[in-house]
This record gives sequence, C-alpha cells and structure tokens, in this order.
Amino acid sequence: MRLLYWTSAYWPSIGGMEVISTKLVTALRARGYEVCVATSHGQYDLPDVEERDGVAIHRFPFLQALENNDPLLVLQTQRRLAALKRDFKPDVVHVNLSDAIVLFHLRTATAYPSKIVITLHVPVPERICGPETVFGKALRGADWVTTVCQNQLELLRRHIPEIAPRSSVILNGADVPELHPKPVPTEPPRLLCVGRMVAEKGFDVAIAAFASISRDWPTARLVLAGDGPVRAALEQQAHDLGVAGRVDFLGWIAPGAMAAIMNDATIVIMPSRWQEPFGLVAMEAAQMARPVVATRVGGLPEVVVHGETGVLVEGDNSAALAGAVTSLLENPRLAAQMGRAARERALEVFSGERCVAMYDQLYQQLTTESVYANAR
Amino acid sequence: MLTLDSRLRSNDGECAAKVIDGEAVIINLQNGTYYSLDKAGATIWEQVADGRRLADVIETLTARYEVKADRAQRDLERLVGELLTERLLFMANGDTPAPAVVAATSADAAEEKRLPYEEPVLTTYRDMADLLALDPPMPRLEDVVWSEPGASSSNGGAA
Repeated sequence: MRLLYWTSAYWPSIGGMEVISTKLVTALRARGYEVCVATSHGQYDLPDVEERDGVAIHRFPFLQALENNDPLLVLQTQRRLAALKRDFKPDVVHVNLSDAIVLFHLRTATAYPSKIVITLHVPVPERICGPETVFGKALRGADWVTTVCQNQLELLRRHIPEIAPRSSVILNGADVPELHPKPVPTEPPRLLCVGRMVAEKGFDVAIAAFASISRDWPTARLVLAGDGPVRAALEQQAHDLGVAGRVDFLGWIAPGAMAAIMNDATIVIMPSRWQEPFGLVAMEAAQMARPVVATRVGGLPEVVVHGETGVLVEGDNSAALAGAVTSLLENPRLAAQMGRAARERALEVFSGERCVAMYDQLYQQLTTESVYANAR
Repeated sequence: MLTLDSRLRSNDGECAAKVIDGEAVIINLQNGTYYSLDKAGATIWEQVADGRRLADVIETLTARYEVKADRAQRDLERLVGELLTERLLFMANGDTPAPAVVAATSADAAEEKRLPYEEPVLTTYRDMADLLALDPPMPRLEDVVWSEPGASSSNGGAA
C-alpha cells in the first residue's frame, strides 16, 4: 500500500499534530506501508527532500507562497506536488486538514486517482464549510473524513450533513512512554502547563489562578513548558502579580522528555480558550497518571472525564480554575486516584496501536472497495 | 461596453498574477481572494491582461483550440465580464495598443493539431484570508533535540 501522508508540519517541527503524525507514519511503515510525507519546511532551513527511517519527506513552501501572495511560487509548488503524486502513485492520500495549504491538495486533486482521507485537526466555523469554500470543497471531495474527537465530528456533520455516511472519529493515540509514572508529588506542589504560548492556550488565566492559589500554598510552583509570541507578556504578568519567583518558564521540551516533566507535576492544567480539537497534553498527562484540570472546550471533555480523571472548568475564569486546582491540592488522595484512573483509561482509549490499527483498517477498506468497484 | 476592439489590462495595482504552462493563478491583494484559470481560460487571461484586442484573442482561441469563433466570443465576453467584476482587469482602450497579434494564426494552426476546447471557468477561493488566520501561529522554535526512539537526528520544539 502506498500512502501519501500530508501534514502541514512534521518532524523535526514539534506540536501536537507533528508528534502524532511522525509516530503514525513510523508505525505504518513498520506495518509494511510505503509512505511518503508531503509537508512544509516550517521554520527551518531544511532540504526539500529527505529520508528518515525509510520514509521520504518532501517539503514544500506552501505557507510561504500563500502568505507572500506569490502566484509564481504557488504555481511552482503546485506543479512539484502534482509531479510527486504522479510519480509516487499513492493508493491513499491522507490529508491532515488544519490550514490554508489544503488549497494545494485541491489544485492537484486530479494528478493521480487516489482515495482521499481527510482528518480534521482544527475547529471549523460554519462560514468556512460552505460548498464554495476551500475547506468545504476539500471535505466534500474526500472519500472519508475523520475527526480526532466526537465533538468535532458532530459539529462537522451539522455544517456538512452529506458527509455523515463517510465520516468517523479516530481518537488520537500514542504509545505509553517507557518511563513509569512516579507517585504524584505533593511537596512542593508543581502545577504544569504545556504548549505553544499563544493567547488561545490561556496560560495567562493559569498565572492569574496561580497568584491566588499561591497565597494558601506558598511553596507551590507553576511550571510553563513551551514558547511563543505571548511569553514576554506572561513573564511580565507573573512579575506584576508578585509570583515571578515561583513561575518557571522551561521553553520548548522535546517529545521524548515530556514524560519526565509530567512525572514531576502534581497537576497538569489546560486552560485553553479555543476549541481544542483534542488536547494532546491532557492525553500525555493521563498516560503519566497525572490528574488534569482543563477548560470545558472542544474535545477536552473527551480526554478528561470530569470527576474521574480530572476536573473541567469554564474557560477564561481564573477563580474557577484556582478553585478546582485547590480542591485537588487539598485532597492529594483524590488527585492520585484521578491520575491512576486517567492512566487506566489512556491505556485503553488512547493506545497508539489502536490508533494506527484504525487508520490501517480505514485505508484497507477504502482501497479494497475500489478494487471491488473496478471489478464490477 | 465590450466590443471586439476593446482592450483591457490586468489591474496590477490590486492583483498579482502568473501563468505557467496553461495554468494561471491570480491573487487579489486587497482581499486575499485566489483565482485560477486553466487551458483556454489561462490563454484568455494571458492575452487579455496583456492588452490584446478581444478580436485578436478570439483569433488565438480558434487557432489554438477546437472552437468556433462565435462560441469563443461568447465565452470570452462572459469571462472578461467576471474578471472585470472581480476588479482583476480594467478597460484600457486609451492605452498604447499592444503589438500586433503574435499568437498563432489560422494558417499556423493548420499545421498544428488544435487542442480540445473546454469552457473556461474562473475558479475562485474567497476564504483564503480566513484560513490563513485559522490556526494559532507556530512561534519560531529554539533548537531542541528530539529524543524519540529511532530518530536519526535533528532539532525541534515541544507539544
């Protein structure tokens, strides 16, 4: 089976989708797939074509062409992508849909007659799902559409009802880290946030909540892992609230180091404002038996079971966040019990093997159907 | 009012366009809308945007494609109307005329096989600006080593 795996970002770039994509592609390769990745250069000075662990990675200046409004680069990129599709002859093109670069997939859709699978990774407002929109055309043109949580699937089916018979949920999944979870540390309490430092992640709400929490828990620390455009503002906020000495900014963390960081945490906080399509950090916390306090947005309620594996609160409400965190700090046995329940559930629901098997099954099903169709 | 003597120009102040091998991409720089034209549509854009008389464009179309002049004229006028509405072209009758027709003449065409004709369609993507703003942007990453099992080498960032 030849699979052209399309993702806007891939190794060595790091983010939820990049990590999931890289692990999935590696696992499919191990199952005998011939995989070719079409992706962007990201922020790096990387070669246009590179091989990693038997997978050819083809990088295109997708965003550069679009953001610079450069019609020549658009056309050149389109032609290179069409040539890749013609040369590689993929049985399946799996598009991870997250941004504007899907335009290039649309413009090369007829280069080779592959089955098209689209996985939606961003919340989609109705206005960008119409039949004449780029997302609308891509989604309607797919043979199968998957989302990474039920919430996204329901929204999508509401916006594009005709997709219902050829759509499903495949929850993200990842192998459990080899590192075994340590008992949840209680002294000093360490509260952990992980992710891109952009306004949508709501780290400012976590800092505001921490300022309140730290009055009763003076040894507590807030650890922020990640980086991004609002980092300086967050550092200033911590300073202004008088907690700068107890807030640690770790910068970016390599995926392989995440388990150890989680192991040092008492509670993992996800204060997101935007409709998180999944919430990979909450899954990683669960794998390491950490209770999660998260906002009730997007797919997070499917990753964090309120009252069982963590606590869900309303978004943009630092008092509610502080209250939920404090309730767990005051009841460490409950926090540890939620962590254990989270890990048990993660082993079953977010297993990497299950995730890979479901995509494998979907690809096989779609291509087998086409064989039958051709035979008729 | 379009006539066979009308000449137009691409609205370079508001759009960027390029044609490669029978495919045109035009971008409205004011609102981020993307347009594309293939085959006969790209030929029309190339010629019209360059200030050719519409009569000359029709001659090029009939020489290059399997299409009769009346249908070529009808499709040309419709497409030019759409391009004017989208402010990608403007009327340029007062400008210096473009050089005499350089496209294939009927006589040239007789020696070349004409291409199958398809009605030119202006494909429009109006939501590109929306999409470009959709995902929170990735910050510039510091170099961090991936420590995934089996990773060969590299740099990276965090979840």
